[in-house]
Amino acid sequence: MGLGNVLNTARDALIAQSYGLTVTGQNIANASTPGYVRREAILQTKALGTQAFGTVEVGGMRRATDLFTQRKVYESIGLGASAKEQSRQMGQVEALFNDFQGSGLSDALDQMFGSFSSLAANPSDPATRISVLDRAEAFAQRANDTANALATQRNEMFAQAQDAVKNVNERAKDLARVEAEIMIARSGGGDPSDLLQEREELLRSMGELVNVRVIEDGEGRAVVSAAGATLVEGTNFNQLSLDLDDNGAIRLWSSSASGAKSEVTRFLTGGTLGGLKESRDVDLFKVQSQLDEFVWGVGDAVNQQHAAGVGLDGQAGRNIFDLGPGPGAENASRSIKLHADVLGQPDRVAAAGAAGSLPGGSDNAVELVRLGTRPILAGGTQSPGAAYGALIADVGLRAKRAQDTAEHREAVHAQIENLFQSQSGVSLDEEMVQLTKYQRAFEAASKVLTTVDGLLEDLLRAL
Amino acid sequence: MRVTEMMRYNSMTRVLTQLSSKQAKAAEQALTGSRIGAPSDDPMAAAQIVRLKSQRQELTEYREGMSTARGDIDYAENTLGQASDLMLRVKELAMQGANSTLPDEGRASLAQEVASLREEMVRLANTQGSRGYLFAGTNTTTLPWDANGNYAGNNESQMLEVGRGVTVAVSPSGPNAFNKPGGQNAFAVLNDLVTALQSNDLSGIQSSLDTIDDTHTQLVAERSRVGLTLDRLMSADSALEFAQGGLDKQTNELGAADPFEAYSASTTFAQALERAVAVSQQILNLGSLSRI
Repeated sequence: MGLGNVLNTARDALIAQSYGLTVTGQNIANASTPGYVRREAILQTKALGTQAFGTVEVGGMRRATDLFTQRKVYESIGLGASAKEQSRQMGQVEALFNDFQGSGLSDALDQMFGSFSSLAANPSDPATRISVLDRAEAFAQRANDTANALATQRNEMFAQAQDAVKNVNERAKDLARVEAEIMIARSGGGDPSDLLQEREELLRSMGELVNVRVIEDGEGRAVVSAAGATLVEGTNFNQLSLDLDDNGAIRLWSSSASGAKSEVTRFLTGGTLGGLKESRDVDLFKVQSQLDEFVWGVGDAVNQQHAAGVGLDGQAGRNIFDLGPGPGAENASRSIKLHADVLGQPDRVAAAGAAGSLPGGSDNAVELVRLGTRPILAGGTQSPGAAYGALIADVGLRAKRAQDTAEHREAVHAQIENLFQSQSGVSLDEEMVQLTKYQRAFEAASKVLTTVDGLLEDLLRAL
Repeated sequence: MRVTEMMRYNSMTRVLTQLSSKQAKAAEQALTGSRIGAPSDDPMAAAQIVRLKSQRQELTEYREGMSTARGDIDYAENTLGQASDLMLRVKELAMQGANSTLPDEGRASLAQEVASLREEMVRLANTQGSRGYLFAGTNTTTLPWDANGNYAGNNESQMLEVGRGVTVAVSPSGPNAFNKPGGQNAFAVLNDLVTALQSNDLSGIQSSLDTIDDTHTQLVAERSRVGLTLDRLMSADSALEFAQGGLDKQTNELGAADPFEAYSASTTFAQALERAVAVSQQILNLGSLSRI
């Protein structure tokens, strides 16, 4: 035991305190980095063999986080992103059916039945007949536009989903690389804190895209699964891919390095990808088929009634609409158009019920007008106006539910993020205290140094 | 609970975003006076409004159809009025002709006048309205009465829907007015008179006075029937107008924002937003850094 040892002690103290200062500095530097986990310097006493007095040493640093909270964060990010995407997509769909702002089919529908009404009042007037065909075409056109917009949106959503899958795959590759670096750092006795941080950031951004779950195996390696399929296991990674089934719905596949593929579509619940899939193949699909049913129902009823009447040439059996190849109502809203029978031939509009009452007979036109209020849709329970109202209500409810879910999940995500922040976030107040603590300790260690130095100088002078 | 700067900033951002979006929505409602800007604002009410709108449109169509028909019916009533007045004039002439003191030349000139009135009668029977010949049934594009009073039209009626499931025959009947089966043929009556006047057949002229009266009655009867149709359409129209008013009221109740509520909501959120901004400023001034 001698003064020389005290010098060593002072040196160790200076090293330890500046390590503490460095760690604090890094925390402060990352105070506003999202997902940054604050670090604490671990200082511990260092025993010097059998001597009574030890010094201090740096025991590395601790990251204030745990896998449980991280998992919750990824989950809530995924659910939030999924609901947000659904709400965004439904907002677009809603805009197509917004009869309050001029889109939607109700005006075209009302005007078509209105033109039948004018025809009933003035069946032999050529201008009225032309306007019947015009209005019918306008209705078909509006149905086409709406259906095409829905179809385009679904196509774009598929492209978006493919982008998302590409991003997930890139992140999987990055995760495997980071995992390898973590292993090297650990085996070399280095500090993997920054790499762990990178891993968490990758998982967060992956969580935005797909539902992610992460566990650690016995050796602290992350096993990451996306949409239920193991994506990254240590340094090995799999890839996801998309295709469409026979009905045009998205399927998600996981393929391993050996090339074996398995379908994981039903485990896809979160992230942008989950939201896109749900929105595209459930909401948009239902809206599309309801629109088809509606357009087909109206078109078919009008056709049947029109075919019962006769044109100015006395011939019956003509259709107004060509409803496309079907089968049934399938794609009716995209393919509906004026039938070749009447296209450009207003004389063939069947206002009269029989050749005997030509040209002023309007009984068939009256029947056409009545279709507008008769329960001809939804299995004979709803009039066209009521059926369209039901379609609007369905679109509105879907949009509202998506909005509500998005709001709710955003609130949940905010809470989880708060929990994470409370545990792992940087508090500048706290760091200021730490800063002062290490500063004072550094000053004190310097004082020890100068004191011992002074003692040694006194001693040397005395000699 | 440990509170970090990020938590403060995040919750500040969240609260400010939420409040300003709520405020914007409330302000929009107060501005437009409409509670529903998109179906998702209230899906059920939105569907109801769309239904009401199409019902209203339906009523508008009925009313438009009626107003087209009314013009023609009005015209037809007028024409029949002219025709019955014409028969009164013919009766006057026939009475003059039946006077045995009248010289033969006088009857010849009366015959000429009646012949021209007969032409006038054919012209009246062939009157065209906005939808073709008025007295032709549904055969509205072919001249219904030729110079001899032969009918080329048919016995169908033009039907008009004036309410859900309610149709009215709106075309006046040509045969009922001018050549009623079992009644008088106006053109033949006039022809007979012309012949009787030309041949100085006093008893013939005398007997035609009765048929002229009958024809007059026949024309007046059809005229009043047409007048009744017109009345019916007018009362149907005012009923529809009333119904439209009812639908407008319902639509308004469903879709309109209560002005007081909308205004006070907008103000409340605006104040909440101001408070949140003030609190945010305080929060930003918290912490040890501001004191160093």
